[in-house]
Amino acid sequence: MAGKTQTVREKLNISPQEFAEMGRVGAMYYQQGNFEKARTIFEGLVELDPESANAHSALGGLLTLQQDDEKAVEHLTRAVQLNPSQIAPYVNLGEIYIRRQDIEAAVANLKKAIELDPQERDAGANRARAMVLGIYQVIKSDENLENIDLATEKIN
Amino acid sequence: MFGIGKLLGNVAGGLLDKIGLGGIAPFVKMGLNALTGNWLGVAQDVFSLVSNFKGNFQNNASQLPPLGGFENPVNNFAAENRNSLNQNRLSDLLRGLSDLFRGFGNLSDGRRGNDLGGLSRIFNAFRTLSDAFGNNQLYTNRLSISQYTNIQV
Repeated sequence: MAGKTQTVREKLNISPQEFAEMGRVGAMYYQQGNFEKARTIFEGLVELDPESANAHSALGGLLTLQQDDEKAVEHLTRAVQLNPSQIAPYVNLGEIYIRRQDIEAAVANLKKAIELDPQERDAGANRARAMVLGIYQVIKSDENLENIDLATEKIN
Repeated sequence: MFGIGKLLGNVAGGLLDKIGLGGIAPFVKMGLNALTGNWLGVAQDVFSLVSNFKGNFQNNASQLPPLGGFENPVNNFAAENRNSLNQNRLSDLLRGLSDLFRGFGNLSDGRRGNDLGGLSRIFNAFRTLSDAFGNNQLYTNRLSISQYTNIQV
């Protein structure tokens, strides 16, 4: 049986701690609004370790902000495959599907993010809650969707 | 259940604007109009989710798309291993990467990083990281994201 091929991170003997610290520097640039440097770092981390859910999630989040949606979906979907319990990829997929006017897919992803954070502590999941609230408001304000009230009374 | 009226008041009062999503309403409306399949199920999901909101989230919603683990304090390995990453280590990594560039012929095994474009992206990332660690303030105060945010770049 063929052995697992080494990633570049493994070839360079970069520890999980060092890898995480590199990601934190990227997150620092992101929070400062220096998106070019953040993207450079996150793209490098994805190449260093293509099996890192954190790297794909971070790059996908940045690409969501930059509305580079096609690439973002690729990385966010991979992040979910690698670690289905991460909240951030679901939040960002929800945002992208809203932009794409695919509300069913958006709600499905936002729902997963919210369900992973029942105590309302995660800032990303709370962003998902705000988006769901926005969708709720549009539904409530749409005269053509008034009958939803009647249909949903049973579940409330 | 938290009062829906108060929640909606916050939406109208700029909750979505506050998190940079003030413009989603038109997309939602167009998307709802385009729903041809399970629109009632979608609406029920939304109503059910909102009915379970506790109302604590409004002042703690990420203003940018979240990144995931790298911005999570749980991953603050630096506190445990303060010297794990520094300029000297990054210099070593850049040398190691140069060796990989030279040995590229032996690395063409189809993995994402094992092509020249991939190695170039790693090289650029290391250069950017090296610049960051060259910032003395960052080098001495890199224990938390909150400290990172004090760095002027």
